[in-house]
Amino acid sequence: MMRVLYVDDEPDIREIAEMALELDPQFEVRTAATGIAALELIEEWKPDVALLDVMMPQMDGPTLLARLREDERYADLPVIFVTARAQPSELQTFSTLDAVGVIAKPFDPMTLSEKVRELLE
Amino acid sequence: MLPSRPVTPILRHGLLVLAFFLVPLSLLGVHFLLVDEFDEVGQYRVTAERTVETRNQLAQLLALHLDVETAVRGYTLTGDASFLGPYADAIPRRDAQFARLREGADSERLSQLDRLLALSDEKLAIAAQNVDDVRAGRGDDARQLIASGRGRRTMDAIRSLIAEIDAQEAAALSSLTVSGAASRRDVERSVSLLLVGIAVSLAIASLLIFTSTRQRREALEQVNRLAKRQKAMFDSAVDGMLWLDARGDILRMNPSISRMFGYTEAELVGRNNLVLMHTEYSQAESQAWLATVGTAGENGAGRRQEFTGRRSDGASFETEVAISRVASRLEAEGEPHYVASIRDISHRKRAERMKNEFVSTVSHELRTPLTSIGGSLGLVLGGAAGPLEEKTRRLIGIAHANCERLIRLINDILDIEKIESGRMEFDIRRMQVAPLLRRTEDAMAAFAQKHDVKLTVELPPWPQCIMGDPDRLEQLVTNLVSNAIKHSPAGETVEVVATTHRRFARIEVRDRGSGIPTEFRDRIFGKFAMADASDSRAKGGTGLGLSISREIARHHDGDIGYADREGGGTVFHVDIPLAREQAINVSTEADKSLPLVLHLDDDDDTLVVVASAFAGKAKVVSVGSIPDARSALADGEVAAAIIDLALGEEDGGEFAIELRNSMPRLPLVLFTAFDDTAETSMADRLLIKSRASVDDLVEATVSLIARRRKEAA
Repeated sequence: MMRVLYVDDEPDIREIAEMALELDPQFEVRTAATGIAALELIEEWKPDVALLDVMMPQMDGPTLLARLREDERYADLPVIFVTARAQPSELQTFSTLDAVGVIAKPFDPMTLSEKVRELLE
Repeated sequence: MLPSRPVTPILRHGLLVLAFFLVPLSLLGVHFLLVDEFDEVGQYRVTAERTVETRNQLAQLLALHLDVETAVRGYTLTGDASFLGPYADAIPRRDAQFARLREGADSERLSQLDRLLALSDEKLAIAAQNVDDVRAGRGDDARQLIASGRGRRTMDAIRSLIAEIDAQEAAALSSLTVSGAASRRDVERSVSLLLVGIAVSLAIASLLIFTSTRQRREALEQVNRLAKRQKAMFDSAVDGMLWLDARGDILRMNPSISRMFGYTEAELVGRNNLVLMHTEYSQAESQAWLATVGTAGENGAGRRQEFTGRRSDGASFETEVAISRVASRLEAEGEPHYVASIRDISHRKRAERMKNEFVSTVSHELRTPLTSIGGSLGLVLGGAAGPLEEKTRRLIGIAHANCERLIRLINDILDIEKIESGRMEFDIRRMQVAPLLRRTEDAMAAFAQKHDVKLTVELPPWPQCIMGDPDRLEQLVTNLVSNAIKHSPAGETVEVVATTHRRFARIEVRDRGSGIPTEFRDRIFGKFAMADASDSRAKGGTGLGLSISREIARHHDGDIGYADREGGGTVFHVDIPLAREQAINVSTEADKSLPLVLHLDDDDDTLVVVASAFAGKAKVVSVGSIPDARSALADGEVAAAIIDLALGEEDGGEFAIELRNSMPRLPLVLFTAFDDTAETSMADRLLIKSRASVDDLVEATVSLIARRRKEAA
């Protein structure tokens, strides 16, 4: 089983993403609503990959990624950004931030898990 | 009597010089004329005096003879000796008179005087005889002598001769008077003329000096007014104005600069303008840059650039600086000066940032609910929530399709907004057409299948390198292909064909649709343009695609167009400029006799340099990867190959061996950074990049081709 953490401040999208990711029987999915909650969950649950929404109040995705990289234990945790600011040049800047990839919102729920697998390869 | 049009300075100076010469010359003339006239008058007086003297003496001479006659007659009649008084000293007196008359006399006058003297002698001789007769008591003889009239005739002759001389003197005097009068009138006229000339000269000179002074005063006033106005303009301009010398040092500034930057004029004048900016440029760089600035209206003039301004307290603010070379005669005096106008654009920047922020926020805020809606509908349709009844499936399908359309619409509107505000970023680089078309083919395959349309892609014989942004061009081509598929009847084929058109790579998208309605043609590239209203619902388009496509093409210095297709349908084409070395090749394409040289190198700059060096000698097919090289060779006309051994992830050496085996007669040149690999031995020539020049490469390749041709012949 692969542990997938999805972090987004929008409850509806968390729910849809959770359902979409769980279409893959190999995925075990948990969600977090804030960066702080995500950090706690990573500490406690130790996911294999984290999908982070870019725009979140208090702590946004890039900040959360930077916090993770500060901790040696999570230096290699694969991170995928999910963003609604899906202009090509913006996508490029995210990929330079030490993330394995970017998924644009709105995503197709039926192929979301496939995309995550592709990016992890 | 002012001149109606301004006297030109040259004319004025000429006239003034003339006047200043004329006046003394005229005065000199007057002087000489008058001196001359005084001389003449003096001579006239001398002559007149002499004439009067002569006439006077003649009268005395006549009186003397009359006295002698009277004395002799009186003595003869009376015998009284006292009558003989005048007779006694007659001869010495007469001689004295003659002596005076002879002074200064001319020859004619002398002969007249001689005659007169002879007559006088005769008269005196007669008188002496008379006196002798009377003394001797021969009174009758004496009376008889008188009565004989000899004495009277002699006296008459004397009188008439004296009258003649007197008349001559009188005539001479009168002619002298007449000629003197005439010459005086001449002198008077000349002097008057000269005086008039002097007066006129002085008048003209005064007039010229007056008008010149007035003009100068007016010009000076005008210059003053202008300077004041310009200073006022300079000082009251809202924009900060700097007057810079060639080094970029501040010569003058206006109060807006003080307001903007917080420096006083005294603090800034004489310092380099870089003190006002946050910049990494050195003063030398800034000066070199300044030298490239032209005057307003020229190319490269009125440079407008954004700088981060630095206030005296160190605070930053955004500025727009327009700078131009001062176009004036000052330049002829030496180094150029520059005027920089600085505008505080922090408000505008803030507004721009707010707008960007707003657009970004809107796109986020709209996409977030759409993600939820689209995601939910997608999951339901995908069966994640259990099986669906057919009717439900159809309704959910409609909702899902429209949700996706809404997302496309938002994306297109954002694109349009970015393009129009100039904020769409284009990452233009060297790229090839083939991968672009393959990506498009892959991306559109499913869409084509859904519409039961076949999609084919036809690539050019060898790789086309263009300058473009791969993502934007994919968006463009995808849009054209998507339109073509949507408007094609089921069972038809949409063809994507890449060709070359002048210095452009042309991508054509051909369909067999119903063609473009005439009334729609002039607004086909407009916003929200659709052939008919039902179109958008039926085809799921936004009506913004072609508008965006054209903007993208134009940002590449290319263009987009369409034409009716023979046999029905439409051909859309997009032209994107070829990369430089390919453009060079195209320009020499007319010369079909040029051999074709394949150049494989992973460094774009090397490709460009080599292709340029071969211009006119060979046509270079520049490729960046082994697969591209293979497809170029498949065309079969290549006369030589130049290969780089180090190709990033690919191995040029292996490819070289493969080439040697498959085409043993093809001249093979290795142009590479290494020389210690085993493969080098099988090449015809090995040139090391650090040692051989590009010209060496050209020469080696061309001579190899020539040799191989000779062998073949």
